[in-house]
Amino acid sequence: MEQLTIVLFERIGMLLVFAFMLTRIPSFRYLLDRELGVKTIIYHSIFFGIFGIAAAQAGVVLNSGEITSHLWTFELAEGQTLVGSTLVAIVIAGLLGGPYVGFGAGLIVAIYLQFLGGDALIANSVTNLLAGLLAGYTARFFSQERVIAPEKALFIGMFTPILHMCLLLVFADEPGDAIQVVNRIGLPLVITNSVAIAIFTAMIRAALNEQEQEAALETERALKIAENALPYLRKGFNFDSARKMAELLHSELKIAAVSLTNTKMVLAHVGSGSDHHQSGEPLQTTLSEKALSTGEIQIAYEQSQIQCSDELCRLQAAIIVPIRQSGEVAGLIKLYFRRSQQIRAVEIVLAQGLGKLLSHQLDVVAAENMKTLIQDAELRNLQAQINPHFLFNTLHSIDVLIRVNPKLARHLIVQLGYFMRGNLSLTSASFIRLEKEINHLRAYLEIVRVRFSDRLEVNFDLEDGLCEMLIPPFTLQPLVENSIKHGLKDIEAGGKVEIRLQKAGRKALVSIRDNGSGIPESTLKALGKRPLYREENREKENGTGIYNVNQRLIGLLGKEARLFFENLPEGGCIVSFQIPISRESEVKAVETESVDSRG
Amino acid sequence: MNLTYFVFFLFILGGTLIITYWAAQREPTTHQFYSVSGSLTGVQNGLAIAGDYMSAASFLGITGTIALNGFDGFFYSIGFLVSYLILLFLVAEPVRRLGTFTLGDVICARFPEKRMRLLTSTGTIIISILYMIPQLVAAGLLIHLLLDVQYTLSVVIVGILMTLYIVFGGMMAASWVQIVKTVLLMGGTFLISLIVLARFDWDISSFIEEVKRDNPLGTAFFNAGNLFTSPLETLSLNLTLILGTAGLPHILIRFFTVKNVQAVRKSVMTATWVIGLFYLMTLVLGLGVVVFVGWDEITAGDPSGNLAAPMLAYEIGGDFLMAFISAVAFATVLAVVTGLVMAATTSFAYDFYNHLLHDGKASDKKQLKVAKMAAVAIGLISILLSLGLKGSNVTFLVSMTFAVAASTNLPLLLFTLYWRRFNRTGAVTGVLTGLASSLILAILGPNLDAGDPLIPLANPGIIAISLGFLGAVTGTLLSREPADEARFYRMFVKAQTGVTPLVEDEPYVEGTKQRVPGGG
Repeated sequence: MEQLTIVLFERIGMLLVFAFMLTRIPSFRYLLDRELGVKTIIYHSIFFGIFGIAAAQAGVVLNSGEITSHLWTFELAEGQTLVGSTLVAIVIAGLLGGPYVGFGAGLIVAIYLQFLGGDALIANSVTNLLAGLLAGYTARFFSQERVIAPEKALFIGMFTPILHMCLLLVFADEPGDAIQVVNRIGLPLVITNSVAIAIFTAMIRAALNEQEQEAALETERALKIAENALPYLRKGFNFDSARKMAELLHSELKIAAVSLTNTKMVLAHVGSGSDHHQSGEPLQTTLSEKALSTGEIQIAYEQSQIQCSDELCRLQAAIIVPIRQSGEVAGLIKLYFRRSQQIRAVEIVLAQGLGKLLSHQLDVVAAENMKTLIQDAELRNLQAQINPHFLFNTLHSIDVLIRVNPKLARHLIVQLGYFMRGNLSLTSASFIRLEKEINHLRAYLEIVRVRFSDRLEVNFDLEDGLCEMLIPPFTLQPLVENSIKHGLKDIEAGGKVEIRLQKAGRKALVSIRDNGSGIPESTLKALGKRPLYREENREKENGTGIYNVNQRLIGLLGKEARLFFENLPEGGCIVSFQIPISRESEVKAVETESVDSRG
Repeated sequence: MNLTYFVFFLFILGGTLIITYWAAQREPTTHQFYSVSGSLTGVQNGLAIAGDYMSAASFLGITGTIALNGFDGFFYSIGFLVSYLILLFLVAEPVRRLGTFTLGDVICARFPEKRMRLLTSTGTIIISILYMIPQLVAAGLLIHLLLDVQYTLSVVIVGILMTLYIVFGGMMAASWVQIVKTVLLMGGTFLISLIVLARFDWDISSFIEEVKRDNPLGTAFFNAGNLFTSPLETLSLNLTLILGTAGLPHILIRFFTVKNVQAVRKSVMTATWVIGLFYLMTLVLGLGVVVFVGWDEITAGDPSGNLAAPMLAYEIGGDFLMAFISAVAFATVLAVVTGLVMAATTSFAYDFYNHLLHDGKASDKKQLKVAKMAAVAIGLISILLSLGLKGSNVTFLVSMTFAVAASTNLPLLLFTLYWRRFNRTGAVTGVLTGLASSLILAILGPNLDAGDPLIPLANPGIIAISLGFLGAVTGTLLSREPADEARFYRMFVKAQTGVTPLVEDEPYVEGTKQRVPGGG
């Protein structure tokens, strides 16, 4: 028994070496990758059937109890039994390809055995037919893995020889002889077959793992490219960013050349052939047009399809990937190859993936730009709000003054006009010159001073050389209005508001201080951070006004420009903020750039 | 030890340990540990139930009994199989709908009280251990006879293996060990049956003629009355077997391992088919033993005829087949004891530790830790008891367990599910009378050699089961505790349909409201 086991192991070893070489052939792996269908089942059955015939020969001939080794047997005489390893091949067929493939392979082996002849034909044939079927069903029952784990295969593999032995006993003509044969070959077959099946399964798993790792690497590459491309995409599709993107793709993909186009012309070409593929050239090829119009990936397998002007151009094949932005095709990425054979399925999938990823990135950039635009629009909308109560109160004052002091009434009307005009003109820009803002504020103060007359004293302290600096419109007036309204509301006379603008290095410090009742501790924290609505104050613009100012300062100039509120120990409070001193010319530059990026 | 045997045993050992290793990789949650997260399919669970159920007693014992006593041996098969009808029609689906992990859940769905949980949990653990002992004793004898390993060593090996499966793999390992065992057992008996029939050129009548010629009873072999002389005894045995299954906790908890009630139904049907076919094959095996082993030889190895099946395998297939069948028998024993350890462990960790000690709020981690410790403890206790009870009569212990299950758990379960008037007192009195009567009757019966037995019945089931039901009814009727009909109907609707009826009053939270029963 030991001797037989060792002989069988030796012969199966040969089979396994052969099998190992098979797993190194790419087309064999391709066989594993195919989707299940009738054709695949037939292919697999034939493949494993042939393997099974080879396995049948990788056994020994049992000649009336004598074991004889051989290279290849063509015919078996009466009394001879081929103790082979067909079950290894068939069980693996069943484990990998399912019951049908197992059955198919078993059928082929069974037919072959008929030609071979020898003893125990029925038992051997039936075993081969059943083993594949059973292995297939068992594998599905026990495991959801694509390729069953070797240890499970070992366990399942041991039972087919047992089945074989039992069938030998069932179909035996001479029970006594059959028992002897079974006792002789049973255990060696169980051991060798199950071990061989386990080893073969392990081999196939290793082969598949390699392949999957390759795919994982490609995925990683695509993700890396998409990530690195993001900064360039933010700047939109211009010559500069396109060149950088093309360089990135060229270095990462390691292909002959990369070019990027928008819908009309080539923006950049990097790599081989850059002497005649130049940026600025209009798009001409039919494939590019097709890619632009259909939005689908195009592949040029021949040089003629690239339609290159230079006959000697070394670029022979290309994948053309359209990039979309908000659903519209915005440009193309062309990946050039030296030979069409270099375009494998992996490259095509990678290109498709890249196209999708980059399109998504572009959409993200567009969405970000859109967000800032919407914010802008919202703020301007708020700026445009005029407080109707202020208008009514002023009109009421004018109405009273017209009889008592027509001159003053006229002055007031003029100031109101200034103020209203200011309101309209101020709202069109993100920044205005400080001078303009101060004029607007003065008009407001003039009106207020007339209305409150002796109750209010306003001091205005403006350091020289600040008039030219830029400030978001509607910043000072709401703060001053707030001080007057709330700070001084319970004060009969002697209210004071002091507005001060000072230079502090490269920044301007703005503070508005009053001597009123101060800010209640509870409001102090919330002020400017969220809109405040107070019941007694139906003019809701006050709470929201401050919030609005604060948000605009932060939105336009950053967190450093936010408002600070502080109650003063001698009564009243101070509101302050600081903004960088910038001139009109500098800001213009920034604005144009930001407009660019939206395109 | 023969090399062939050794290799086959190693394969079984390796296979089951691979399963356990694979199960141990799963997420360590109580849901996974107690019930495989309900992830088995109906067919898988059906095979597992069959694996849980068909013990070495079924495989080896019934083959031997049929070979020795003819038709009377088949009575066991009939009883074991018919019990699945009760399971299918009365018990399986309501149990699944009301419970989460244990029988305790089911009872507490009607009587949400710690006391009731303690009662069912104790019952579960007692029945599981009672059933485990004969299995382990049989395993020890079997392995001793087949492999020539010492009795003590074999019991310890099986005991350690079953504990390992549960500690590392929980219900997942138990289920798959059972499924593998069922496939092996069915495959093995099927192939042997084929070989036996092939020897008669598939001619069944000539096979039967041969059996008639080869046994001393002649034609009477195919009639009843060879083993059970009194009709009452036969009736009692069958009643015990038929009603016992529905009270076996390790079978009942299997219904929690599938996704839904449809799968429960499917698993009971699968199990019934598998078990039915299996018993048909044991018939072929038993008759084959008569022909090929020879009637006189059956008792040569083991007086009770337990080795009949392996002997048959040897006669028709030599060492190889006998080794395979012995390995199958080994797997059979392993699967059943594993299921029993699982039932006891779940009941201890979930019912006792989680619900009784921690009001159902014990963390997953702690429950798992306790479950694993409980599994080790239960394994250890069972090993020690089995070593102490070495010479005891296995059949007696098995039928006693069935009697205990049928007279305690079954009345409790059936009345809880279907009797409107049933109450806590009835539950307690029923379980106690059932347990006491089945144990006392077994001790007084003819199985223990105590001279003239007080009760002549070897299978006292008919009395014990009646007493169990009677105890429950009497307790219920005598107690002044009113029946909570609203709760019964709510539970009944849920048990039969799976719909939870809307409750008008506050939902009950276990452990917060303790009603005092009215006495009686």
